[in-house]
Formats: sequence, structure tokens, C-alpha cells
Amino acid sequence: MIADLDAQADAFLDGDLTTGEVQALTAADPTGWAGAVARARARRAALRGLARPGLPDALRERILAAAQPGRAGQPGAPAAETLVAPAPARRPMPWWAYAVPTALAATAALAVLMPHDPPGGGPGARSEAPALAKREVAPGAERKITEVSSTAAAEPMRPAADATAQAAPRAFAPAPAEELAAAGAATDHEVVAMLAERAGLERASALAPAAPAAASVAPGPIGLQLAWVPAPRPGTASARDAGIASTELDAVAAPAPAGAEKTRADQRLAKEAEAVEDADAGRDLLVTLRNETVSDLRIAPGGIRLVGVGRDGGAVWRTTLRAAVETMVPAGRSLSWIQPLAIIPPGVARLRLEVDGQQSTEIAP
Amino acid sequence: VNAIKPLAMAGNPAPSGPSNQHGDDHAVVARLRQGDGAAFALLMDRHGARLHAMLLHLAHGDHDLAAEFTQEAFVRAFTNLDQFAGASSFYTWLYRLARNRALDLLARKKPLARDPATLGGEAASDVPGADLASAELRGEVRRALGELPLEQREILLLREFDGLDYAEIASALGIAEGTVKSRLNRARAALRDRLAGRVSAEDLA
Repeated sequence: MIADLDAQADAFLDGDLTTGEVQALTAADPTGWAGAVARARARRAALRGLARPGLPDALRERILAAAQPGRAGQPGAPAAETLVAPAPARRPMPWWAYAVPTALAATAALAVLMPHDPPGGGPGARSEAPALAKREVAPGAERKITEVSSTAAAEPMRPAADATAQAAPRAFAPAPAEELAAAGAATDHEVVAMLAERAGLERASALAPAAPAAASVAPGPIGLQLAWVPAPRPGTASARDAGIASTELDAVAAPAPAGAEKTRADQRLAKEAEAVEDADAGRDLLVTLRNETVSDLRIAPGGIRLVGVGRDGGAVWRTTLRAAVETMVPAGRSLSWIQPLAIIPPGVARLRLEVDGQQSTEIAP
Repeated sequence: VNAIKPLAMAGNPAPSGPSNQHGDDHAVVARLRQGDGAAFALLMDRHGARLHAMLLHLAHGDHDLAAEFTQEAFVRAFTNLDQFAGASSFYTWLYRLARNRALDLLARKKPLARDPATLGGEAASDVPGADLASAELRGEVRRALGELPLEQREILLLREFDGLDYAEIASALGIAEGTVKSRLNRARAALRDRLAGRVSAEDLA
């Protein structure tokens, strides 16, 4: 009975009960009804009284710097230039528009992910690091993320990492299949094929054989690499899905049954709903973590961050990658994934990756 | 009975919702479109703290995530400003931009055990009726709220904490008003169930 009264009291406070219904409830159990109303009020007051911390000053400044790189009082572009809202980032393009960026990105990925001969090694040494033809989506990976990986048990690309590789023979040992599967392993050819698929090319061999690497690598136990990849063509398996928001926004977009004014209002709402979806359009980044140590690398949720750097060199934007899951990279292996970026603030002049205190070098957005 | 008309009760949302600033916000947006850079800061000063607080509770008190969501919402709003048609309030549009990313992430993220001190137990003194609840009760309500499914937590926060009316919630979530009511009823029932095990009826009353 108390539960029923509590529900009725909530309905009453929402204005959903008629006067007659309230009178009946009061007459039936005056004390119980008064208590139920008091409890409902207390619950609502408690919700309303939850802490309301202000907007941190640092965050406020970061938002201003990210959105308005040349705002008044800051060196940089004139305000008129910075206040022009850019067009949505992605629109369908003909297939040939993807060819050049595909070639560049795929070549970059090849340069980074391709197994190299270990120091002093030959064909035999390379065979110790077989590429496994397996690709899986890691359990719990973020929506819109396509996991790809390559065996990177190879000669590090920089001399600073050579010492690590030479001192870590275990890094070149083939890992158990399950371990690689957990990290989402794939061959280099699969990476290229995936990139080609995203660009709508029929054959991976259509990719250019050589181009300057656009990825960035930081010396240290974790290799961090960033490279832009072309957006998937509409209809491909890796095309981004519309997600919860657009599904629910369909309800807003539905025309009203009566009233021209209401219909016009709904059309405006629908347009805004589209704007929200457009805001999800963006670019895709190929992110690669290379574990160049002899032990597995485990990165806690929230430990991988993409940082946007402003023109003055300060961080003006940051977003957490793989924030909901722990990321594991087996010793001597690499993990790559395609990270959709819904938006890159106009104030971001360079992007870098940060993992466990290590930073990648920076790439242009 | 007429003396206790529900609209006059403390249990209704604070009147500080976006409606009061609705028209004025549109004027500020118009200024921003014309290149007035200060207008963006003004919009942030009006809505930034409110959005950040809402997202902070939605994210179980994770300050980093809340900051990330807040920043992304404002940057998206700035870059897509030409697509804000003005049918809804600026705040609900802003919230909708924030929730796209927030829900995607929060739906699969396990809530962390937060030190209550990180969220604070103090009521905002400028929120009518907030002082009716004791700090202890607020703590229990916050914990119970954190156990609710994300969808229920969100709609309760929008209604009671953020003070949006049904129409504004419908606009913010992109659902019909009828759906707002039914979802809100379910959320309230779920909150009552969770509180029943830890707060006595006398404590609440």
C-alpha cells in the first residue's frame, strides 16, 4: 500500500492527478497520504540538492581555446576567420577521391606494421614472428572501432628502440594464438585490405607502393603511432552506424499530425536532429600501440588519450580512447585500431597520443 | 485540497530551467553567427556549469569524463552552429550534442567507486527546496541513482536535478513527451525500490 501511495504521490507532484483523485486518497488514508507526499518531496529535494560544482576555469579556457583559436586577446587568426563554422566534415565522395589518401595511409600503415628483419637475422629470424591471419573485434571495444593488429615483433623503426628489441628476445617469440586473438591480431595484408575496403578499392594492390610515412613514432617502451585513414564508403561493412541518438531522433523528425505551425516547429526540430547527426561525422585515425618490452602491456581504461595542441603549443583538447575497456598489448606485439573522431576542434593545430606518460610525436589534424 | 496544488509544491523542478533564457539565448546565438566572439563565452558562462554538473552526475562523478563531454559539446555546438534552427532551447540542443558521446561511452563503462567527497554532499543554496533533504539522504539518493540504468538515471537527472519540463526533456532526448512520462515513472519507481532498502520511510518523511 505504501508503494502504491508513493507512486500516487509522485504522480500528484507531477500534476498528473485530478482534484477528485487527491481527495479520495486523502480521505482513504490521511496519514499515509501525507507521509507519501512528504517522502516524494524529500526524494526530489535530495535529487535537486546534489552537488553542482561550477565549470572549472581550466576547462573553460580550454574550451575557448579549442573552439576559437583566434579569439580576441589571443595571437592568431583574426576573429572573423575563426568564427566561420566549417561545413560538416564528411560527405560522400567519388571513389577516385579516396585513392591518394588511401595510398598514403596504407603505405604509412605498411611502413609501421610490416615485420622487419631483426638485427642480424635473416629469413629464419623473421619466421619466428609469424603473422597470424586472424582479426577479431576485441570484446568490449568501443562502438565504431574496428580492431586490426599486426605482429610487430620486428626491428624497431628507430635506433632508440633497437636496444630494447635486442635485449628482449622474448619479444620475438611467437605468441599463443589466444593471446594474439585477445589483442585483435591481423596480418599486414589484412590491414591493407581493410584500408582498401574502406576506400572502396577492389584490390589492395591498387595502393601505391611507397610514400612518406605520415605516422608518428615515439622512442620508448611503447611505440605510439597516429595516421589518418580514409573514411569508409557508405554501405561498407566498416561504415559507422547511426547509433542510439539517430534512432531516437527519428521520433523527433516524424511530422506532427495536425497544425501547420506545429509541423514547421517539428521540421525545425528535425533539422536540429540532423545537425546532431552531422556532428557525428568526422575523420578516422589509425592508432597503433607497439609494446616493445618483454612483458605484456596493460593500460587501464582512460589511460589512452588523444590530445589536441593549440597554436601556442598548449593542450586545448583531449579525448579518451578506449575509455571503457582495459587495453592489453602482448609483449613484442602491436595493437592497431581505427578510431573515428567525431570532431576535431578548430583550435587544434596538432594531435598527439599520450599513454602512461609517454607522448607520440604530433601530426596535423 | 486546492491548497496543496502540486505546481505550488517544493517537489517540482527549480524554475531556473532554460525557458527563462530561451529567447535571450537565441539572440546570443545570432550575435555569435555574426562574428561576435564574446557571445560564445557568454553562452558557455550561462550553460557550462549546468551542463558540466549534469554530465558529472551522469558519469558517476568522473571529472575527467565530464570535462571531456562538456568540451566536446561546446566545440560541436560552435562548429555546427549554423544547424541550430532554434526550435528547441540552446541548452537542450547542447545537451543532445553532449549525450551522443556520453551515452556511447557510459553505456559500457563500469561505474567507478567514487569518494563521495569528489561529488560533494552540499546542496546548492540557490536551488529552491534543496535544503529540505539532509546530507545523509542526498548521499543515499546519489548512491541509489548511481545504481539505476543509464536511461533512468539520465531522465531523473534531467527532470529533478536539471529542472527541465517534459517538452524540454523530449527535445533533449529526441523522444515523444508520452515516452518521457512513462520513462520517468519507471525511473522513479526504480529509485523508490532502491531507496526502500536503505532509507526508512520515516527518514524520508
